[in-house]
Amino acid sequence: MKKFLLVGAVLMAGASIYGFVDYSKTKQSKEFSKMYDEPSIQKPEDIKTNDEPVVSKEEIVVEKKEAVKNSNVSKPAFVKKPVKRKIQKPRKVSYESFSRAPLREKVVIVKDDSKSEPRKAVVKEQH
Amino acid sequence: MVLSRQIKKDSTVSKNSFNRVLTRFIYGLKLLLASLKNKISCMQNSRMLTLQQSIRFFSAMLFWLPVSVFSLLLIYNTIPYFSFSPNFSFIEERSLLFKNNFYYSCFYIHIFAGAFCILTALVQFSRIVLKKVKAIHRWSGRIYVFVVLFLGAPTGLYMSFFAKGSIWERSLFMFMAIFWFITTFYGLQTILKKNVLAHKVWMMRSYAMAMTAVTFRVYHIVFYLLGWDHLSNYELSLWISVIGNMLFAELMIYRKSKSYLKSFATS
Repeated sequence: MKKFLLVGAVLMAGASIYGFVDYSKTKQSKEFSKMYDEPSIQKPEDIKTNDEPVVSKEEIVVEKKEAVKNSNVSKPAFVKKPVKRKIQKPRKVSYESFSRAPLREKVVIVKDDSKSEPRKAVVKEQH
Repeated sequence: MVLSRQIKKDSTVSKNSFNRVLTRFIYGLKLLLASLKNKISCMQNSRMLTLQQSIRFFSAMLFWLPVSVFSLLLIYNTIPYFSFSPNFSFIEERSLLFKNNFYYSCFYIHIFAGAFCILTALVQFSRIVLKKVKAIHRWSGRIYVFVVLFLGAPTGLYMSFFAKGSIWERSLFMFMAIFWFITTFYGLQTILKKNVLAHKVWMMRSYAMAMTAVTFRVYHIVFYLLGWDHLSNYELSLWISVIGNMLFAELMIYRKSKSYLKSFATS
């Protein structure tokens, strides 16, 4: 009986001492401090849809030059980039999620080509 | 005159006899009612008893059915870890720690010990096993104690230093390991002194600690479905599982033991 207690106590004491020493060693590494950091995932509310027109820099330069040369130059056409939409799947639980592992929802990035195809800038000139 | 007197006499006699019959009838009715009441009360008692028994049975089932299902699910999910593959999100998250051979071996010893303890505990609390095949209870109990004292608790204590969360969560893991060790040791000590009641109590406490692994996972999933972010979900589930299990065990002990304070006796 006493032997049981003695062996168990020695093991527990050894585990605590070695654990503390090991922890103080690994604590110094940057990897350890960042180990449990959560990967930054944008929430669905924060994800902005690309509704605003995007104008390329080159086009702006061309437009400015045209504006200086000829005041009759028409307005620049808007060029839209393909919109990337992040879709968060609804939270589902399977028997595999019955673990200590982090439960995270899957984010699927879908390219929405149908809405915004890249267009070429069209400069209309008034004669 | 004589005739009239005779008639009066007869009428009084008949009245008396009627009264007698009536009183006897009432008395008989009373007896019948009393016997019926008695029978009904007997019937009510037996029904109450069966009702109580069935309530007890269903409440036991309500407890043991989910406990055994979740315990078996935990064991089922633990088995793939013994492929020693690093492709598990738990291992991937702690990839730095798994480079350390000591942590690596402690992890595998700990999950083996945990799964084994949860499985054996299901057998240990079975009344059928305890009554009919005592040898199974004794041997699985010995193995349980050995596994907890020499494998599960020390490895858990070592790993608690690297646990996820703040210093409080790490301290909680340390407390769990130490409490698990102490309760199991007292469970062994009391049965060696042939104090069965105290043995039951300490083993309930030990099992409550072992079951935190199961209850944690349940809370973790519930809070995940409620939309909590991972870290706060993890911390909250951990605290609730440990404190909740301890309180539940103490409540059960309090209900069963006549004097609660004596349940802390170790001899």
